[in-house]
Amino acid sequence: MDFQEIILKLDRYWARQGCALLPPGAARPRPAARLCLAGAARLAPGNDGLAGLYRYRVFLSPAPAGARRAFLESLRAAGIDRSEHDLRWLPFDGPDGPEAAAGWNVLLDGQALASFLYKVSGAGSPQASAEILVSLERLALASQRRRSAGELSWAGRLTYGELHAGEGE
Amino acid sequence: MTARDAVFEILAENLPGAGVRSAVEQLKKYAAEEFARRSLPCGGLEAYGTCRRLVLYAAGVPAGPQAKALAEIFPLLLGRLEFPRALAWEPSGLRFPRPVRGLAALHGERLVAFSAAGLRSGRVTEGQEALGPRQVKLAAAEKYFKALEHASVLVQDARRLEAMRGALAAASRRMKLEIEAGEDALGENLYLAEYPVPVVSAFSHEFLALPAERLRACLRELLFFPVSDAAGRLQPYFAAFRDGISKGQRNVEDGFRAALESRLQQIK
Repeated sequence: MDFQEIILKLDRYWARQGCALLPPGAARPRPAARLCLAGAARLAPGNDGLAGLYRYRVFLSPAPAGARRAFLESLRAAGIDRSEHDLRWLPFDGPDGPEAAAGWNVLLDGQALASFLYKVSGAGSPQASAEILVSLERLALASQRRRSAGELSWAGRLTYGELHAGEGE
Repeated sequence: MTARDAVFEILAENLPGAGVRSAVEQLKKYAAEEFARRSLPCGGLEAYGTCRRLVLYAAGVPAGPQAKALAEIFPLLLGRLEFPRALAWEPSGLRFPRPVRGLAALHGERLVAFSAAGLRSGRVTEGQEALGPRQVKLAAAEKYFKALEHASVLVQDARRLEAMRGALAAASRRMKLEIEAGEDALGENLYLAEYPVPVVSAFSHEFLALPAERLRACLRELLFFPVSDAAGRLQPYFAAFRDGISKGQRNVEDGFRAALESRLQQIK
């Protein structure tokens, strides 16, 4: 599956889950009562422990009981057959913040694929939101069975390497 | 009156391993206390844990009015468990490391009905996650372990450990090399997979130039097992466990290798 096809598949998958799709670079709106946002974005690299330049980000508030399952299903939508890979869920409590948080760093075949973090707010009646961050390069490498990002097909014959020539990536 | 076994399973999202080991001990200890406090006899109490579930198994609990106490004991046990780090996830206020997603409770064929953690107890659980979402209906408490094993989940810690030891011994014979699997390292892997499948992979020879202890420490950090020859010299191979089935082994071998080599590259 092409890199751009993966983004389209993820967009379609999360839209079907009721998420509003945000274009790349859009600021996250103020927390609303119910919110489900998804979209691909190019981020400043090196601050979230994930490889590559592109992230697929999903924000679910409140997090439904099936949030983790939905994440797993989204991997399938992106061409990953779970039974052919190993997923490890390393406990991860997230950066310190005002809200209590707990989640995982998710490793696909031993390599960082995503972070999945719940944040819980409200003392008397706690409510959890979920934020999922997926490295699109790692997802595409597994989906296309490639070893380096440069070899990834972005769209048909156009490769990731050609699109990012001269960026040192 | 005939005595039947009883089972109580707490299904959660992936739990930190350290908490599981201690919760299993607590579950068994508190169950003994609560059974005794209510003068509820039973043939034996045992507790088990995996990365996704905590299970109490009570053998030979007499049927009849006495057994009603199970519906009080099970939710009480859940509430008494303590973890190094836990959060309240829903209005009941129960603190747990990650969200609880299911409660299965049976005495023989009978449902032990109660509510806890915002859930109602039932007779359905989930099997191995790598095989996709699969519900497992439990016909009777006595069939619990078999039903889960059919769904590729080895619930009993000792069975899982035995399967891991056996798999490493077989891999070791095939390679004619020693897999260094100490008790501590096996213990760290015990709460990683519900159905541990062995993976053997290799790494580039160049890293053998690293001090052996640093290499061993790096493998251990990733929960991989070093491989050495009869003289104890490290070889450019390692063993590991994945969760699920042995489909797509090549993906996992290559992925684990890449993960290890990138870590070794950093410490070189």
